[in-house]
Amino acid sequence: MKSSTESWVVECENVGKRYKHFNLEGLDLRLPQGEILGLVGPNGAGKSTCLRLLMGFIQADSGNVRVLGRDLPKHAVWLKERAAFVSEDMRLFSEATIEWHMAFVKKFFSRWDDAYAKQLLHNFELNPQQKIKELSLGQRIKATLLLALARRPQLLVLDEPSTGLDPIARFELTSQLFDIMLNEENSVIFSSQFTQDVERLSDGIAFMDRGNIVSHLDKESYLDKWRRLTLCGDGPLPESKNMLDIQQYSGGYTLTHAAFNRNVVQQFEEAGFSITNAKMMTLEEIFIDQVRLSRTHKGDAVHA
Amino acid sequence: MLPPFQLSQADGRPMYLQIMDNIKQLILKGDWSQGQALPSIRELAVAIKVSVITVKRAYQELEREHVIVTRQGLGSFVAEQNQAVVDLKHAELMACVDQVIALANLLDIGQAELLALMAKRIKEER
Repeated sequence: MKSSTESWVVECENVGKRYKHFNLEGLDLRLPQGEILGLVGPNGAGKSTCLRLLMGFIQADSGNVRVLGRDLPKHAVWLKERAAFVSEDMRLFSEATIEWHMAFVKKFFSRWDDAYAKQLLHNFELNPQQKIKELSLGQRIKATLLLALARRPQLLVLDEPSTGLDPIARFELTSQLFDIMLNEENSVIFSSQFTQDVERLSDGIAFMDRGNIVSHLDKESYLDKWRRLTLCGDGPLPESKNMLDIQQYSGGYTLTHAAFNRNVVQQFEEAGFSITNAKMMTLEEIFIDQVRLSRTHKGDAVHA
Repeated sequence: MLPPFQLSQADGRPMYLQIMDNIKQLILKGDWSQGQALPSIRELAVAIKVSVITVKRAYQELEREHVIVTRQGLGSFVAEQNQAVVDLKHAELMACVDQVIALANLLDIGQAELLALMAKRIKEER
């Protein structure tokens, strides 16, 4: 899909980060310019660590991290002007108003866009005179996002932006992210525990589990590859590492296949089976099964 | 302005298929005429709030079906009158014809009688 001349916004090569009770190991991640990447994983999978490495907030113990073409954390200060990071625990001054924060952030970022900031106030239905301590959680996240977006970052990194938001606020937030997409130079990485958030918005999806990226594909490929199959026929099933939840019933099997294509159909037919049903799966189902599959094959990860 | 797209998560079909269907309907109904430029992938993605890759997929599939054509550097266009568009129109009509035939069978109306009724109605329409 991507030609070699295309520039990568993010390049992580074999990145490792060791903590006392948690290791990030052999992390490879590439993001082409203009793409939206969703990083999905259970609690403690390493999503936040990964994002913080990309911002140069923490230093990798091994491997290389390059963002917008520059090595990190060496160029972390340079990156700060061009990349924005939003997380739930952003420190805002509780006694100050939104307007005060806007003026404050503007001083540090030359790309700050006043007109866009005003537009965002309107879109998010925020009152600039309100103090941070008077805001609801949803409003506070929106305010944080506004402060990040109005800087017109080339790379927007969002760490669990929608956690704690009600469905309406979540919708408003994702809607706003679509507008950033209009400029094809902007790229976004966001992490989430919910596949729902990721499903509509992202081009690529990386599933993380236990300090590793277990799979990174474009969204359409996931939906293409995974099927819940019903097979009719007797005898042994062809061997495959890409099958799970195999259940036998009188006259056939049901199973989940992680690499479904024409060849698979042919293999089953040659083994004397006919496929009576091939049901597509939701991203949520795929995510859960991908994690389970990679945990069974720990050490020989399933890649595209 | 972009005509409304009808997309639903509850629809069991993948999003790219729903987008393809919407575009085909727009072409069939004449909202998008032959040779007309389609919105860019990015524009459409933002407008209908779907990821770029999904719209890209829909365009690629439509291209494969010869419903649209993509010219390097210029974008995508509704195909000029060709077999694909004719087939689409026929498929749309045939779905109704099938219903008429099924109903005729149910009412025990024979082939000759059905055709005569059709001819009569067509004459009246004129």
